[in-house]
Amino acid sequence: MDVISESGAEEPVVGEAQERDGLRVLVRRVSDAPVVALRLWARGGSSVESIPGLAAVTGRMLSEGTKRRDHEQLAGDLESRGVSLSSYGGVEIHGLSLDALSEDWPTVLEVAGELWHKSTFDLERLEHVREQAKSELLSSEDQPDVKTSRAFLEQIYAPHALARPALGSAESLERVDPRDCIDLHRSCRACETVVSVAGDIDEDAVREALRERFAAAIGSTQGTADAPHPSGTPDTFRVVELTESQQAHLVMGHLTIPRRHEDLAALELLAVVLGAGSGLGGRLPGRLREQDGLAYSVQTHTVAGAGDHPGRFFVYLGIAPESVDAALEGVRSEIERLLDGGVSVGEVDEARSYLKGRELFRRETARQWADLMAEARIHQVACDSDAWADRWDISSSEVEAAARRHLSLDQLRVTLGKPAE
Amino acid sequence: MIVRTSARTPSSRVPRLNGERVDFEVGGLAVCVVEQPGVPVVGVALCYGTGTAAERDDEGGVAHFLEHMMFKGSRRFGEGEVDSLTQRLGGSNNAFTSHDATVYHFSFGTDTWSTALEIESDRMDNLLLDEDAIESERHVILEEIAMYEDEPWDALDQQVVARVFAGHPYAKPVLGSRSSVEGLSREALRAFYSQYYNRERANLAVVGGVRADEVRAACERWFGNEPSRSRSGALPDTETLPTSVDGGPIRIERQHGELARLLVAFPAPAVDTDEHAAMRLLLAGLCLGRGSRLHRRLVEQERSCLWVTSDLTEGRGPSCASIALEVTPGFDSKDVELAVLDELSRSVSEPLTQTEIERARQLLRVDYVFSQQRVEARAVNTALEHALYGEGHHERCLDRLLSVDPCQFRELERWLRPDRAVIGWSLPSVS
Repeated sequence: MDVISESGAEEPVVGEAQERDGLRVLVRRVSDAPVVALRLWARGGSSVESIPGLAAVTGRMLSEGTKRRDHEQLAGDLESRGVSLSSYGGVEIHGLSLDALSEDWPTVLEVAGELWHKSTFDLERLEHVREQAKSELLSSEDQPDVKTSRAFLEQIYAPHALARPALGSAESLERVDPRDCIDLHRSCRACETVVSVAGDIDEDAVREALRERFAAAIGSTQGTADAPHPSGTPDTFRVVELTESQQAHLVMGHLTIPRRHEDLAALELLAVVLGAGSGLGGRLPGRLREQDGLAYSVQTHTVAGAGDHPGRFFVYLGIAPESVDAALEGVRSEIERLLDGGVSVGEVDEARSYLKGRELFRRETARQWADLMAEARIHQVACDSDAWADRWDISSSEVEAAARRHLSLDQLRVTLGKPAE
Repeated sequence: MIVRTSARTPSSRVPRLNGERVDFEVGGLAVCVVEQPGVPVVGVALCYGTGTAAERDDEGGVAHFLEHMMFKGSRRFGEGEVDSLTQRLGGSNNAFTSHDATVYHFSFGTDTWSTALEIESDRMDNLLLDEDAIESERHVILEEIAMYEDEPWDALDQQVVARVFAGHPYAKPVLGSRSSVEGLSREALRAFYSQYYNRERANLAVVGGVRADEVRAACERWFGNEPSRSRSGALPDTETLPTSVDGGPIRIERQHGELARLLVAFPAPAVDTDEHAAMRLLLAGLCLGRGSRLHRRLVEQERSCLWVTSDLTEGRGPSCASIALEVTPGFDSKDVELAVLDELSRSVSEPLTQTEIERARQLLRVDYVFSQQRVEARAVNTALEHALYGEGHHERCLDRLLSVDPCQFRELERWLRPDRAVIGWSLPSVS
């Protein structure tokens, strides 16, 4: 078994991912505040789950008790020291986060190791987590923007896991039992475990302690199932009825590229040109909000949610029902203008400056560093700010070419959340 | 005069935050710098100590509308240029309006941060308030109002808070109402701007990888000239207490969505008092974390709730203490309400134990450290602190909280009586 140890100075790079049978340990000293943040992730989430909602439930069960402490003792032991614990399941990972004062780093590591290897996945706790998840699904139905966005994701991602709520459905949750959770956790954990720790800590001491805590149970080459390829549903225009909403919610877009695609940087620049940058800058907020006054909220991206699976180009607007046609026309004409007229050198320069500047603000805190290091490892990309920022040194013509390769009016799918009459 | 303060901690229990603080004044503008050598970013926040509470009754929403207009053109920065320039320099910006303050904030690198002062100086003195831009923004704000009205928690919160603060300026909705926003004129915006947007009403905070002498030089450049306006508008009387809700509880019910949501709120003591600190600690003991009383009872034992949380507002005047929760489908909302009121009553008759107190204190202490980590957040907190409460407010509050004596919980009884509660329900719609 390999134990790979990396400090913040030795950044993970693409290529190291071939060493899939080791524990990935990433440690960085961030001395601005007396805190420590730990992220402990297993590669494998809803994209490989056998039952919708299983990964989310499995993740949550990681904070529901171990062979040594039940959930109440766990909460008592952690909260008495001010340690916060959360556990979760995403599309490509499931795992946990622990944040604490830096003096408590030994406790953080001890608890993380215990939760990772000795969680009991107790049936009684699973019943509780299941009921909570079912209620959350119902609660989210009351958010008209969430309801509309969910329908849009199904429209473009089916049958991939992103097409459904992370929590699955009330029906699928009923099928989850403790054995499913244990199996998913074990197989994903063996596939790859990433632990990142950042804060006001002694890096060597933390690294050594991590080796002791985690070395024993990692080291299989076992893989997880392949995720189904997203292809979407046949309908190009979908209407969701919103029973108690004044506003209409409009989401339109299509799939683009996965995170490791060579055009990722070009599409990130393009996203800022369109309006994914700071404040109300960019073409779409400029036109739809600032010029036409149609919406308070205009959101857009070109590679939203990209991972091993494709990301998405989307535009979201919350608007008055009578403005739907104007908004649709506005978005279409802006895409047309982009594909026909391209982007200016100035726009791309501005987008590049924004993206490069933003990198500094993604690395301010121990929590951010812990997240960033773990994400970089999972996606096998660099997290050093210089290496990352160099990717955007491309020309406006390259951005235009990428736009024409990956954005298309013909592929556009539209979901309209419409207030009931 | 320059005042340098290092490691300003009221007691050793308050965690020491990174940075040396320097205070000075330029052209009537109070400036606070927190020097953090080696930090590659800078947060800048300009806080006007005026917000919704200062609005006249016939100009609801003007403070918030003006906040939007500050991005719609001044003499040197045309419409959209603040965002464009910020983006071009690799920064970010935003703003918010509360009842007591309106805050504009930026994040920049260490070589570009002074652009924030250039922008703030121009829009403080030379805002255009173009008629077309006002009309366009009016539509945007009407959509913002619709968005909040559609969101079940925002809509409930608005109704409950308005009743808790009835008769007090804090009862006014920050966004205004649909009709008040439709009726706001350019003259109303101009008058509010002229009265309240000036150096003597503003506090600037700059936090991060800067030196105080650099900030001072930049302030001299952008704020050192003769100000175009000085203090004129009177601040609202926020000391007056809201109309008493004694004789209650007052009930508010609305129908919306699939799930029952409860918001129980009470008028609460003002900040910078021992009672406020005790209230914060009590609410944490009741609702913060999995070991809190209400979480254990409602979420874990009875399983009648999906989650439960609490809030205690801060402002120049009185506060509002509240407990919010979502009810698990199938449970009776009346039973949940009774359980919340029962636990509130028990929290006074059977005060938090020492273990419960220590747990709540430690969670709040750690939360304080995490919340101050980002330069932009710390700049906003520092500017707000100066504008509303005076230097050292946050540390004082935390220190007070760490010193709360259990017998103080009994004194909270007069605040938490059920007959002073406003009980707001958002119940599932009847189809």
